[in-house]
Formats: sequence, structure tokens, C-alpha cells
Amino acid sequence: MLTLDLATGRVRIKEILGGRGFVRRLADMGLTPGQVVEVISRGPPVIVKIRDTKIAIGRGIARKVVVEYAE
Amino acid sequence: MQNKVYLVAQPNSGKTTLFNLLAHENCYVANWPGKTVEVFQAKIVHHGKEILLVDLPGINSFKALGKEESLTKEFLLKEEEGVAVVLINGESLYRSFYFAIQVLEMKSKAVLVINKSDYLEKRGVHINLEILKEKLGAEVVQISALHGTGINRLMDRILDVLEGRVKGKGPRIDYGILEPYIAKVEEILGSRSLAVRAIEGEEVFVRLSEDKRIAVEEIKKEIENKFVNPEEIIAMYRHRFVESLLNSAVKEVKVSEEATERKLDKIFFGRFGPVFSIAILFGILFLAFTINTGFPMNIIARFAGYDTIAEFLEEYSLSGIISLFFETISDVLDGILPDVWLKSLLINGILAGIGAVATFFPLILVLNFLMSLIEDSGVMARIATSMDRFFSLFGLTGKTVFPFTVNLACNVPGVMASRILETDGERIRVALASPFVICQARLLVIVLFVVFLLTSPALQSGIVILIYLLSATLFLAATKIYGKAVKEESSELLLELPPYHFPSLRVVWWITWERSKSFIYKIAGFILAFSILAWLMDYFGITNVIGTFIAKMFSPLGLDDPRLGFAILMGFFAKELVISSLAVSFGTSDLSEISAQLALNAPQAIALIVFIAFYTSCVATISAMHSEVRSYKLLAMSVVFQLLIAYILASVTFILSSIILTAA
Repeated sequence: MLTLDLATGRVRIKEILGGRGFVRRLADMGLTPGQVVEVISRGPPVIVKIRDTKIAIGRGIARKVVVEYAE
Repeated sequence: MQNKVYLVAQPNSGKTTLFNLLAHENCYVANWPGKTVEVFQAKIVHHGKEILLVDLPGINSFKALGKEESLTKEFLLKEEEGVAVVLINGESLYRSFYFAIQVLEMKSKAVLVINKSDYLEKRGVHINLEILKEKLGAEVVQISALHGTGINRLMDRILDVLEGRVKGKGPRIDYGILEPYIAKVEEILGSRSLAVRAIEGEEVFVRLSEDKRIAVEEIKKEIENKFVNPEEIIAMYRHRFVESLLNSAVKEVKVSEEATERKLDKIFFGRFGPVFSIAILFGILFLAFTINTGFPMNIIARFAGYDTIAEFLEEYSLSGIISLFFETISDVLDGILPDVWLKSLLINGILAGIGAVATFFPLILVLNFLMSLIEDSGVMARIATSMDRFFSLFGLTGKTVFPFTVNLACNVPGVMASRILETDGERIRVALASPFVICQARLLVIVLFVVFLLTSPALQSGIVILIYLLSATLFLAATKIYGKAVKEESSELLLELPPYHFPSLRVVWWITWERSKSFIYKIAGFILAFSILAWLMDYFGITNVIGTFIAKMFSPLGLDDPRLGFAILMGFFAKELVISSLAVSFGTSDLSEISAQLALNAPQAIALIVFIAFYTSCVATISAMHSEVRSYKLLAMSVVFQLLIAYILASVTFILSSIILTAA
């Protein structure tokens, strides 16, 4: 299982492991299943780009974001 | 007043700039009804119509965490009169729209404002406002709050909505497979937007009868049985909606990340990012310290042989000028007033108290100014990110580096700066641990003691370094311990990195002034009250009793001079009073004379310095902590813990240094 803290390049979010509040907090930052993000720096913290926005994500959160390589 | 307009936005959207622009200095701070949270309000007039503008706290997520964010959420969920003005951050369209559509779903009386049009133009981004208006069912205006363009049009649209000339319907987001359930809940609640909120698991602020509540709960259970997490499904459909919205309404001619941004980010997020970040923060501290007291620049100048520069820095530093001013007033009053107790109260109580606040104000002002400069330029988010790896070792986020740095100047604004932390848990942990960070006032006392009580230069610098190492360790350890008390032992970073830009001086000044003013309002009265209390205790001889008691506590270490005990008591009110109190009770301001009379050996001196560095300080900080944590239990825990730690550390260093120094 590939998680965001280990990924590089363009990845698609498959699943977010966590409670409702957690999922919600990430969704509001643009991190939702299906979304393609670009990992700019593996950090930690992981820095991703979602369209025009850059977001820094702590390792503990990144570990709970399951991703797969896009394309 | 009926015409209320609320500004709603995510942080970094330029909300503060817009509010500042619309308010024209007519703003004031008001308490939100029934809450301790303060919001900015302003009365403005447009086309002869009076409008009350309310600046709601910026909110990142609808999964609100702090008390300020929950207030914004509460406004959105309530059926409230007034118009919501929703800001879109031009620098971050996708995320902003995702936020905005949720607001628009809840508030049909709304105006959507796309801010930072200057930035959009520069990047070649064109937005079709007509398409947006149609799809979102709300008025849309494009502005640049920074340059003040589009503001009149915005005010006109707000009036249109206020007076009912235009009526919005809000966006209609298709929630696909959830639609049948939404329809069912809507039937019960009477509102589609509330129905969506309810399915998301939000507490909906409507009074429901018991059977209706049960009916809603049953539908929710049904959904949860069928689809594991309805929230995730809702988020997915919202993202789809935003995607199609932007695809049809936004055209980008050229998109290129600016080269400087990439270069700077490379430094911040590279191996030396933390070093770079610390250099920036220390540069700020250095500048703030020097402007305030001349220290440490004066020492450097003297060391380099520029004595005149050093003297100039000392004489014309801000706090030097201010204390001279207060001394002059005291002298004049002393000369003209008759010798009664009232005179003593006036000079030694009230005037001394006001003077203490006034000499601190420049440091706070300068520091707030420099901090808001890096905050408004996008640098702060990078610093927080680069420091995150270190702080995450202790269950803190990189943002903690800001309150920590401010604490090195003064604990009062340091405690207040803990507000930028995202979760209540982290905020309380950092606020309570703040006093362990050595502030500038304490540094000056420590340096004076070290210079006059210890003779060997190696021992002198060794002790100062030891104290700072201890200070950082204690701060981090205390956040861990307090974490257990508030049942939140670690927080995680989740932070937007806005594009770099030159800060707007107007906004920076505004933020600086507001924060510095809140220092005066919150703390000044407190310090004044304690100065008067201290004077009263002195007048009735209570301080001597306590001083003797404190000296008894220290007799195992041989520090049993009651004058020392008295100085330690005074240091509780403000650490710098330790020196002046010694000067008064020994009848001389010559510290070498005082240290000769005290006749302390090296281990005793070290123990004393360590105790003074860490024991509970000062009343102003305690008051600031109280207004942040709002719990007497936690407050008492922090105060007692500091006292205990300081006493234990003093004893341990006394024993250790006795052993080491006799062996050597």
C-alpha cells in the first residue's frame, strides 16, 4: 500500500484512512479520493501541489493518505 | 441596526486588506454575543445607507477546530439576517471555490468576491463572471483589495442584495447517489442545505421536535450502512462541481511558476531550510532587541572598538528614552508633592507600573511589526514547514517556532502568538510552556548576575549557555507534560503555502497596531493593579514577611539573606525588578558592591541564577496565559510546576557545581 509520505511525482489519491472529522479536514484542503496531486518535496513534511495551491502535510497525516501513481 | 454584512473567507484571501479598505479606520473590536471571541466591526455608509460590516474570523475548514473558527461556522449555519460576502483567493482558485460553494449553499443572500485580480492579470488568468454568476446563483464581483479596484462595484452589489433588488438561489450541486436521501431529509428539515449538512454529520442549528430528529437520524444510519463514509461522497461531488465550474469559467493564458518562488522554496525545503529559517527569525529578534534596548548590538559595537556607536545605541534606544521620561516625571513629582503616603503610592506604585508597561511597548510593537511582515509575505508558512520535522519529534507542528521566537523577546506576546496554532490542544500546550523560554528582560538580569557573581569568563558564558539549553529542553518537555493534561499529545501540520509576495505596509501596520493594542488593553491594567498591590504589601510590611519566608526556603543552599528573598518576590511581578529591588534594599545601585556584601560562593551564585531564570514569571505572562487557556486549573498547574522545577534545578545545580568545582 503506497501512502503519500512515500510517493513521488504525480499521484492519485485512492483513500483517506481516518475518522469523519479527519477526512473532512483534508477534503477542505482539496485532498479527496480521485484527486491527482503532485508531490513536490517528500520532506517530511510532504509538500504537494493541487492545481494552483501548495500544501504542506505533516508525516502523520501523509501516512494516512493512500495513493497510486497517476498514468 | 438591520443592514449587516459579514466577511467570510479562508486565511490568506486578503480579507483583512478588504476589511481595512472598507472600514476606513471606523472599525472597533466587539465581542461576539455570548462568546469570548472578539470580532472586528465597522460602520460604513454607502449611498446614504448605513451598513454594519462584520469581519468573521478566517476559517480554513468547515471541520472547525478552534473557538474562533466555530464562530464563523455558527454564523453560516444559523438563519441570520444580513449578507455574506465570500472572498475567493485569486492565488488559489480551486481551493477557494471549494470553500465558497459550501458557504453559498448555506447563504442565499451572498456576494462572491474574487480577490487579487492584480495577481490574476499578471498570471494571465481570465475569469468569466457571467458563467460563475449563473452557475453559482449569486452576484460575483472581481476586485483587488490591495489596489482598491472594484470596491465601488462591490458595495453596489452588496446594497442590491441587502435591499432585495437581486435575489440569489445559490448553487445547485448534484450529489448523485445521495440525492434521494437528501430529498428525504429536506422534507423533514425544510431546507436542502441543512439536509446536506445533516448528512455530513454536522450539528444542525434548528430546533427539531423529537420525532423529526429520530427520523433524520434513521435516514443517516441508512446512508451510513450503505455507503461507508457519506462525507467522502459529498466531498467528491463538490470537487466535481468545482472542477466543471472552473473548466467552463476560467481560462489561463500562461501559467508559469515564478522562478524566484521555485528558488526560494528550494532553499526552505532543502537540507539547510531549518538553518535558513532560524537565521531569519534570529535576524528579526536581533533587530527588535537592538531597537528596543541597544542590546546586543551595543556589546558587538564595543567589542569591535566602536564605543561611540555603543553609547549612542544605549542612550537612544526606545526603552532608554522612555525610562528617562518616567524617571524625570517621578523626580519632578517627588520635588513638588508633600511627603504623604499618597505621593509614595503615586510614584512607587502607579507611575512605576505605567513605566514598566511603557518600556515594554516598543519591543512588542517592533516585534509585532517584523512578524506580521513575514506573515503577510508567505515566508512564515515556509518557515513553519521547514521547522516541522524538528518540532514533530515533540508532537508539535512547525508553526510553534513563532510563539517560541516571540517568547525569546517577551513571554506576553509569545503567549498571545500561540493563537496561530491550529488545534486547541497545541495552543494550550504551547501557551502554558511559554514561561520556560527565557525572555529579554530575564536575559538582562541573568547577564548582570553572571557578570557580577561569577569571576571566571569560562564559567560566565558556560552558565548562560546552560540556561538556554535548559530553557529549550524545559519548554519542549513541558509541552509534552501539558499534552497529557489536555489529552492531546500531538498535532500534525496541514498548511497552505501561499505564493510569495511583497507585504502590503498598510495591512502589516494594521495587524501590528491591533496586536500591540491588545497587549496594552489586556495587560496594562493587570500590571498596574499588581504594581499597586505590591506597593500596598510593601507599605504594610507584608513583603518583608514573605521575603523572610522565601529566604528560609533557600537556607539549605545558604541563600538565606531576607533581602534576596524580597528581590525574588519582586521578580514574580516582573523579573527586571530583581535588580532594582536589590539596589533599594542594599542602598546602592553598584552591583559589585551588592555582590561583595552578599558574599556568595560559586555554587550558590549558580543556583541563584538558575532559580531566577526559571521560577514563575511574571504576573503579566500569567494574565496572558489565563486569557488564552481560560482554565484556572491549567493555569495553577503551570505556575506551580515552574516554581517546583526552578527550585529542583537550583538545588541540583548547587550540588553538582559544588562537586565539580571542589574537584577542579
